[in-house]
Amino acid sequence: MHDHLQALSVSALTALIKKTLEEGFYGLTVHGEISNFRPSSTGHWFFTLKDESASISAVMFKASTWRVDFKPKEGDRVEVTGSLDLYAARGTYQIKVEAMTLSGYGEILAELERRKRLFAEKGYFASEKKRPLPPYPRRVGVVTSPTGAALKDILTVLARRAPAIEVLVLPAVVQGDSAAESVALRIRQANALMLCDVLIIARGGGSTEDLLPFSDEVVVKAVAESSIPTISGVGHEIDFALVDWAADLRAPTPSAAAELVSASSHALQQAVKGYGPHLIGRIEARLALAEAQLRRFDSAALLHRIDAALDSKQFVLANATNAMTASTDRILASAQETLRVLQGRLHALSPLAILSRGYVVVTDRDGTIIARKADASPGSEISLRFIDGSRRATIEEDL
Amino acid sequence: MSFESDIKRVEQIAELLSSSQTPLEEAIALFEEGMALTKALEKTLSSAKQSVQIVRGESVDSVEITAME
Repeated sequence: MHDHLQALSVSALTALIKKTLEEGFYGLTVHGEISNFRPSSTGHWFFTLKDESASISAVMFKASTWRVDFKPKEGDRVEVTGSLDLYAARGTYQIKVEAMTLSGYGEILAELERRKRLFAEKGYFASEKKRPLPPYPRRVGVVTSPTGAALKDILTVLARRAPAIEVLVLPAVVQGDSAAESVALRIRQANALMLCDVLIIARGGGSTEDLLPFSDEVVVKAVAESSIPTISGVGHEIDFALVDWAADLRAPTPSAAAELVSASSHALQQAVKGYGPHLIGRIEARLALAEAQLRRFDSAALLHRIDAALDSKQFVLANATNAMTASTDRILASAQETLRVLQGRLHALSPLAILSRGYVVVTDRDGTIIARKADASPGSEISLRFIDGSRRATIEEDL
Repeated sequence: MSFESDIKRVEQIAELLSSSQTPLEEAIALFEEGMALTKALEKTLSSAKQSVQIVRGESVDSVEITAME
């Protein structure tokens, strides 16, 4: 009896259904429980959304998943928004999810806002109570899970940047009903026994719900009352907990907290590495200056001066005996020899050797160093200090 | 001498080396002292090994602190 009706192809029927579903169901908000969560290696998430009596396939593509601030897991109650999508080849339909939040997320945020106002009124966040961290802590206390990634990150950062800082782990439960009291107890304990110079309160990333213990009044109060300076490093950059406002310093992550407590120690370590080259640079500059001063007394310059002096005293020479001439030659030869030795020393490789290069320290009778011509007027008596002793001399006249 | 006072001394030596008021002989002696201190400081820093301990017990009156595995 249906012969006269034209049969639909499967494709045509599917196309009709697809059009009806996709055009009729978009901008949906659906709540349910995640099951069979299968993140793919390419970054997409496949899962089933279900409640007591029904289930629907769901997919969330990589382009959307990065905006989700928690890692979904089996049994999470979530609220998703998206549209229906039909996969013709298999005749299956699914929700294409564009955004996902944990159910009750809005309520949690509202509750956090309420607590934040309350804690501010109670003075837990008072900025005048904030203290600077000790620049060179000897011992850092870390309140966190002894097995968590947060502790591992902190230890790695501190070992690399400031291995001399001792770490004291104050193990705490960081998730679930007992977490807040456990964390608060460790903070109070560290204070009662003064176990460290600075206290890091840390936890790895998690959902807003997971981080709630760090917004609990017992924790916030313990941090606010801590006489040991505190730094919070809870979750990832985008996360926050009310303990952040109570701590003396807020770090975006546990690793960042470790970097902040070791900032000065690390800088010091870098500075010490620079000390050697710095000292060498300074002494080299000093020696270069001394060498420039000495150059005025090298053999060529001295001979030139002696020649000049001799020229101007021709008449003295004219009256000199042969013996005197010979003696002058000997003195000259000896002076030249000494100068050659000096010159050799000048070029000695070690900068330290310069000390013995034959400086003469010129001082007045009181021992004050004479560095300038003006301080050595003709007629004044001076002392010449050689490497092996001193001689007294009198200033004659300008050269 | 403590680590901190050694560092202060090296910084002081660097200052003195820059001053033309410091006689050369003294500068050389200071330089040697500074280099010796620097080597000692570097050694202290590079030989430091991280110590990690953990608190046992939850009493606020007394705790046992042991090395962490």
